[in-house]
Amino acid sequence: MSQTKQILIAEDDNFMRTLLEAQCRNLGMQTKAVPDGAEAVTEALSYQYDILLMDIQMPVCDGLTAMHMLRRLGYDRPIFAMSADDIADSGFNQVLPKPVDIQLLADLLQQTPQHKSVALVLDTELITLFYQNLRQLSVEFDNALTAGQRETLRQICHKIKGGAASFGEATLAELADKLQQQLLSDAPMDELKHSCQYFAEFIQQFGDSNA
Amino acid sequence: MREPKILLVDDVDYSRQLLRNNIMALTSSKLLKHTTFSFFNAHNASSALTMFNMQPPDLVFLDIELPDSSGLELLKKFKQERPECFVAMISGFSTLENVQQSIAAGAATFIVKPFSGDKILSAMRLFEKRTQPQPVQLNTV
Repeated sequence: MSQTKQILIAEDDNFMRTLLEAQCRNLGMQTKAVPDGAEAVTEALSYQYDILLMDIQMPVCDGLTAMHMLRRLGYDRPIFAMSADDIADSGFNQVLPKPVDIQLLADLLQQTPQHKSVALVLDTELITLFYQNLRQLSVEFDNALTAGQRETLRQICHKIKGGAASFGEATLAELADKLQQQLLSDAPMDELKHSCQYFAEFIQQFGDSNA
Repeated sequence: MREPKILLVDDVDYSRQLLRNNIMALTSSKLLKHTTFSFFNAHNASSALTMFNMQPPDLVFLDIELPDSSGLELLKKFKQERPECFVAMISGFSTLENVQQSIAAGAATFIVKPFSGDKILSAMRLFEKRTQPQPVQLNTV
C-alpha cells in the first residue's frame, strides 16, 4: 500500500490545475490531474484515489454530472467540489468556495483518512492460467494477422490489456492498449502491419519465457 | 442468511477464476457480510442467458465485450427479465459513453479492468448494501 494519500484533481483551467497539483504535492500527496468530468469518472473508477477534488464547470461532462454518475455506481470515496456558486448537493462531501482557500483545502485533505487497500489474490494456478491463455492468444493473433482480420486483432489486444495489468505485466498491458487504439483508428492496415508484427513477436516471446 | 448466486460472464477463463478467488478471499477475511456464495460461469452471451434462466443469479459480473454479443445488450435482457438483479459491468476500455450506457441500461456498478482488490471489494459491498439479506425460512409447525 502506498504511504501517501492519492488525490485526483479535475479542473479544466490549465493554470488552476497546475497550481492545485503543486499545492497538493507540497502537502505530501500523490496527484493525478484531468481536464474534464468524463476523465474524472473513468479515472475515479480505478479506485486508486483517496480523494477526488472536482471543479463544477468543465467541458465534456460537468462536475455535478460526473459526481452523480459516480455516486450512482456506488463510488463511496470523498468527493470535494470547488465552485464560485452555492452548490447544495449531498453527493459532495464538501463544497469549497472559489477561489479556493489553500489553508482550508490543506486542513480538509489532512483530515481525510487514507483508504486501506485490499490486495488482489493471485495464486499459482491463476498465474498459470493467465500464461496459458496468453500463449493461446499469441497463436490466434498470428492467424488473425495472416488473414488480415483487424477486428479480431483488436479484440485480442483488448483481452491481453485487461489481463496483463491485473497480473502486474504493465509493459505488456501498455503495448496491447497502444495497438488497440491504433487498430480502432482510421489508419490503414498496411501502416499498422509493422506494429502488429512487433506485438506478435513480443507476446510469443513473453508467453514462451513464462512457459 | 441465504447463499447468494453469482454469475460470472467473461470469455477469458482466468478472469472468471480471478473474480471467484478474490470474492472467496474477501469472505475468508470477513470483509463481507455473507460467508459463502455459489458461483456459475458463462463464457459467452448465449450460455449466460441460459445460465441466467436456469440459476437466477442475485449478482452478475458481466464483461462488456463478449464474443457473440455486446455485454450491454445482455444487460438490457437481464434487467428486463429480473429488474432486481444486481449487475456489475466490467470493461477494459472505459469511456464515459460505456459508463453512461451501462447506467442507462440498469447496471449497479462499473468495474474498469485491470482488476484490483479494492474494485472487487467495492462492488461486493455495494451489492450487500443494496440488497437486503433474506432470512432463512424456518419450517415451523
